Amino acid sequence: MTAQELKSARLAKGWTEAQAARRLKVSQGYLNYLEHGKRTLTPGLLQKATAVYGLSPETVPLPVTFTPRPAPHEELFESLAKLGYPGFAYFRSQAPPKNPREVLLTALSQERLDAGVAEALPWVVLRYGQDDPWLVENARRFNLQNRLGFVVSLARRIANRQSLKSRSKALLRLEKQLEESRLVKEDAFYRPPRTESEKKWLRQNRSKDAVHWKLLTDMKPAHLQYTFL
Amino acid sequence: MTCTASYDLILSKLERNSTKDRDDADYLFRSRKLDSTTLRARYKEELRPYLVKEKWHDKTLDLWIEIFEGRPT
Repeated sequence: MTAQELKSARLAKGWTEAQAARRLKVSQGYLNYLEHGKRTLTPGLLQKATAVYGLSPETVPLPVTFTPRPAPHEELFESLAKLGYPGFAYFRSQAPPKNPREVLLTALSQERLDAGVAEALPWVVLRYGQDDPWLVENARRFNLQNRLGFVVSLARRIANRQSLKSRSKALLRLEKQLEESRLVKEDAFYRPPRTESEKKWLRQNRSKDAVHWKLLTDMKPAHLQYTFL
Repeated sequence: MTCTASYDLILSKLERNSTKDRDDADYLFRSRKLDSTTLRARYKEELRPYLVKEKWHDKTLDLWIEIFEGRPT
């Protein structure tokens, strides 16, 4: 976010520098410096400004490199609620919002996901997904491209059904980027099969997209509860 | 929730048979300490006569019971 964008965000709220500074918990002088490019906006303050000014979570800074880590279900519920996912709208938290791309990769890197979180991911892609080097490169670094590709395929099918042409095109571009590094190894999405019979059943009954992305999952657009933006 | 209602709930999820349905049914089966013989009997008497692809759903029930019984309680 540039200094000018920071100023525009404040003006859009109709706040004076002093009013905004109070909400951001900085001095008015420091905010003035930030808005004139005389000080650099730190990632922490940018995260705070996103929440205070009600900006898109896409403006939240991303780490240079993504590192997968185990994330508790509650943390993912909270992050998805902050992104505006209707399925977790009841979740209230004071935590600052996270960038949707980071939330997406964090969720995809989990070995097991809560069903509600798994169902939320196509919605995240539908709303925020784009042909983005950070997302594609970090997905590749941790072999998450097939899981991401599958979620993008689901989101694109939903975009097509709703005639969201520009979203559909953007998602197709992202899918093509991931396609270049599609893995041959079979993987699971949401959770690994519990028994050999379930594995066999999934192999026989998965969608064409799941076959293409070499994933053991039976998730289909019809299973998703929230598909409208 | 009564045991009878738990069996009903599991059987209501059988037709769709998504991973989430299997997980919900598995949780219910184990937490309520349900019995696969009763589940099969209830399926045969109350649901199967109204299904179109009976053999398909018979296999689904087999799969579900294997999952329910294959995991430690």
